[in-house]
Amino acid sequence: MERYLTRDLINRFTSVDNNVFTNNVPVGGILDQQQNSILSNTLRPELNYSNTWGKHELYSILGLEVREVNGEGYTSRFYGYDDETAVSLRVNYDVRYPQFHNGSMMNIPFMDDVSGTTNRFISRFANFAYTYDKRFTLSASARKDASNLFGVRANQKGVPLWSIGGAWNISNEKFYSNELFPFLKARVTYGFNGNIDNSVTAFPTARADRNSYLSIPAVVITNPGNPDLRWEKVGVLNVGLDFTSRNRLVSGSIEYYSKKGKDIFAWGYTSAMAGFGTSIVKGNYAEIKGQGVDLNLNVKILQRELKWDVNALFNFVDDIVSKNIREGATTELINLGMRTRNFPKSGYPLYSVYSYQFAGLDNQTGDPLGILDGAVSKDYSQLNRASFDDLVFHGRATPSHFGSLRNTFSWRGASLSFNLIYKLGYFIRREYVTNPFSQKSTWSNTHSDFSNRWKNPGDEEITNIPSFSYPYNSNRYLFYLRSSALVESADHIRFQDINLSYRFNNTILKRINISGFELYSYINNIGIIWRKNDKNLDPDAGDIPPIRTVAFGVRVAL
Amino acid sequence: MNNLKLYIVCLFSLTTISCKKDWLEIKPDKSLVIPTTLKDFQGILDGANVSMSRTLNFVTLGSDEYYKRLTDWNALPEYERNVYNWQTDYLIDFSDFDNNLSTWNNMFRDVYNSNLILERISEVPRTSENSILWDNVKGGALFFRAWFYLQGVETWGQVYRKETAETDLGIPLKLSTDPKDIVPRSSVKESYNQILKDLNEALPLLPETSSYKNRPSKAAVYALLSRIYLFLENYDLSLQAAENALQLYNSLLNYNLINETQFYPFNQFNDEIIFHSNGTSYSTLSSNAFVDTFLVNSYHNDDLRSILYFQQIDAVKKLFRGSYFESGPTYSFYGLAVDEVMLTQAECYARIGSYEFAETILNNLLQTRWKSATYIPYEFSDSEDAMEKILMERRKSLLFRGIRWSDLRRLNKDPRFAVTLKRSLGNEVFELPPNDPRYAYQIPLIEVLGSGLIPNPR
Repeated sequence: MERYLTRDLINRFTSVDNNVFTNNVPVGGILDQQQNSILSNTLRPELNYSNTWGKHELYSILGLEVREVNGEGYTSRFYGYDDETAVSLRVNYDVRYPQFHNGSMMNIPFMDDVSGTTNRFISRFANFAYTYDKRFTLSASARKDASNLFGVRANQKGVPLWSIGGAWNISNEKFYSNELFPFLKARVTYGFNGNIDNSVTAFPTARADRNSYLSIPAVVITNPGNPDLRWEKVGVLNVGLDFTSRNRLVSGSIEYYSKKGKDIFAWGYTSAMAGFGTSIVKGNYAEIKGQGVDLNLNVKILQRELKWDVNALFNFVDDIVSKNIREGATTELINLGMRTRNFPKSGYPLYSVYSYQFAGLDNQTGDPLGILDGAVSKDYSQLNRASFDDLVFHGRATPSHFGSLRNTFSWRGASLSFNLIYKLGYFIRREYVTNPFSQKSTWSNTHSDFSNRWKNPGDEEITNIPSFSYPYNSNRYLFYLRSSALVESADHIRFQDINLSYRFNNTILKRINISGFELYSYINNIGIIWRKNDKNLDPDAGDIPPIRTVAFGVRVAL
Repeated sequence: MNNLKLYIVCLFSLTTISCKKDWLEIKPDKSLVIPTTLKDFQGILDGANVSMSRTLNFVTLGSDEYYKRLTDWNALPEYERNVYNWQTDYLIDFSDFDNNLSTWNNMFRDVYNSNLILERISEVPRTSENSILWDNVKGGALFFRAWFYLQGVETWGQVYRKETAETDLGIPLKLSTDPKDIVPRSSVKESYNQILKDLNEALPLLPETSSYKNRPSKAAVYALLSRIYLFLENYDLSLQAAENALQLYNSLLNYNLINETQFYPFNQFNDEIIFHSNGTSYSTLSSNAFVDTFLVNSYHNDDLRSILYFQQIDAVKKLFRGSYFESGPTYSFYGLAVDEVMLTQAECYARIGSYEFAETILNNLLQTRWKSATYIPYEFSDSEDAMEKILMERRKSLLFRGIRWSDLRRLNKDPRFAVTLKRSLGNEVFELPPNDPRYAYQIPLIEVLGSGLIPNPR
């Protein structure tokens, strides 16, 4: 009875007849009980075989991992519960009662529920490497992860993964005599992987439910199923060079890869006749091409009592859609891009940001302005149907250049490290007032941009936020939502974390039988040190920046 | 070498350890189903509050049962504003904002359920043990397909005209679950023929009446047939179907026994209902959809409908509260009930000249709608007189049932009953003249562009 929920339910389900009050939900407590249990079993046999004879080295692993996770859950609710005596009272779930406040008919909420889940996984993997004379290596690996995915054909329950490669240990050749880099190795691999998207199924799938009006079992189709569902097939060719300088002062690797994907999952237009209840579904609609460079560099700058290590990662990617068999109208391209669904367009990155060209605000009304056939326009329904040529293509929605720089200083037992990460070459769409003024939504929270909107002539000089308009004009709102006014560069450099620790000298501790004692502190998400946008936005976080966490700890080893 | 042998043995055992092929076949969640059994199919048909017994009451938005004040209209989502004053060629076509598109999508999703059952039930052998369920499920799937396609053709199909029905545009009749099977719009005639075919096929499979109101029955099929034949102006067949329906089920509520103090006086699944279905929600109807003033003033004081159907807001304005689903005009009852069948029966008699029969039927119905012993029975002077009064009583009884729009579509063809609908918003008046092409809602633009469907003429 202390809870609002309890009092509210009792009040709602009170009927009045000639000043006689009947409590259909009995006066008393409401006890909600929930029980969940999870049981997990894992089996992992693994077989290693390696041998060396003469100039030959063979190394191989064969393994299997089998895992099962079972979950069971029960929820139940007791009405009119008295904790003193553990007695609860019966209610009638079958009758609909008029709600006290508005007379609409409702059943007393029935909360009893049982759930059962089973997740099973099998991974089979094999690795094989043969080296001749410590110079040439031939390697191959294969792996197949399978699970009890629902609604797909048996051969799609598992995802295959394989690669073959060769390596040449150049520094072991007799002719090699570079003293600056005593270790140098070139390698090339070709790998293939399949991918399946859990959210789509090949067979029509459904969920068991109940018809709450009639209290009979019901089944609801959740996914009509796409019989053409296939794996994504991605082939990657890797060429790399590993190097280490004398005394290991500089080490690292540089790698170039080229990637080709077929049957890539993407959103595409589908006729309502397919039965999905929507016009946009996911399928194997795209082909992609891409390439990239990864550079990993470790430098030991100081190696005295004070040590200073630098670890740097630089990545560059470039990918484009080479084909999309379900390329849709421009409106969909921009509409879906807004919801971070990829709706690929040939010749553009898989995830791209497009917008309608924004031409400021009307200086009399504060209406957003666009460009139609080269002229400033307020014809929002036409602006919302711009052709592809009229769109602004800003760039990728995911970074093209990214990486990190970690500096570690250590001096005796103390160690300090901090990590900077950078992401460049991509764009985001800012959040804006959600579906404003469409209905009487005074109760809902709205975006703070609303308070900086255009209110009087002249405001267009200081704000890009359109005036309030009533009645709600969804095309005007949609145009602004999709206009370049809300697109920002997402480039930024972030101070990711600081790690400070001190390890106490062992000799003192050993006397009290402690083999290790360490104090540490870790600060995560320190902040953005540079960003291209002037809206003070964290491009990776939407409107609410990630929380800075600070941790202190003591690590004791006995 | 022994090592190598051991290695090979182990390798062999590892690769074959997944001995049980079906180990991965177990469902990750008990509530997941791949529908294959009769029980699953029945469950799909019973998914009532979720989808199946929902009606696409989109057409109600354009009908003359209600009006909005300018201030309330201004507060509506843009798309509904434009539907209200019949600016329906205004297309937004983003599924989040466009009710026309979402209604269209919902129709095909609901039809998909039927198509799935009809495709898969043939893989379930019909035996002496399961024959009743098997028949009911198949009949139910056919009935629902007809049910949704009828709503589709009344929403997006051109108005039925005998002379041009073979070439006028109906709806695409998708009869399979294959997502690649994209069909063009069929003619109006083909659309109705498919609906009639499904219903006639369902008829022998269904029970005479059904214990659950959401499940179709023979009575429901006949009631629906009588509605369709009325739309098709085939009064003989409509009459015959109405009489067949009433022979199987003819309970009427006595409105004197209905508690008027209850906010929504009529219980769901009440005895007058032959088949239950309820509408979806639209902002236009969910608040301040005031009942048409002419209609509200047309009831006699002793007519209980004037009390049980309406909530008095002020001296002139009333809201509808009389749905057979304990609700107002949104989520309203859109199913089949005995009152509608009797009104159809009476109209058919009047149309074929037997106005005395029509008189008896109408009086039998209305007697239960008036305060006891106050009812003044109709005495028709001729068929013309009978028609006029029956059609008025039809309006007064069947408001917010999704029927008025179809009635306007068919009655407008007859100059005696043709009306021009008017909407006034502030100083502006919008009109929808009889037989206007806008009596067929526009096909969603995305389907015109994407599937090559022919849009409705304007």
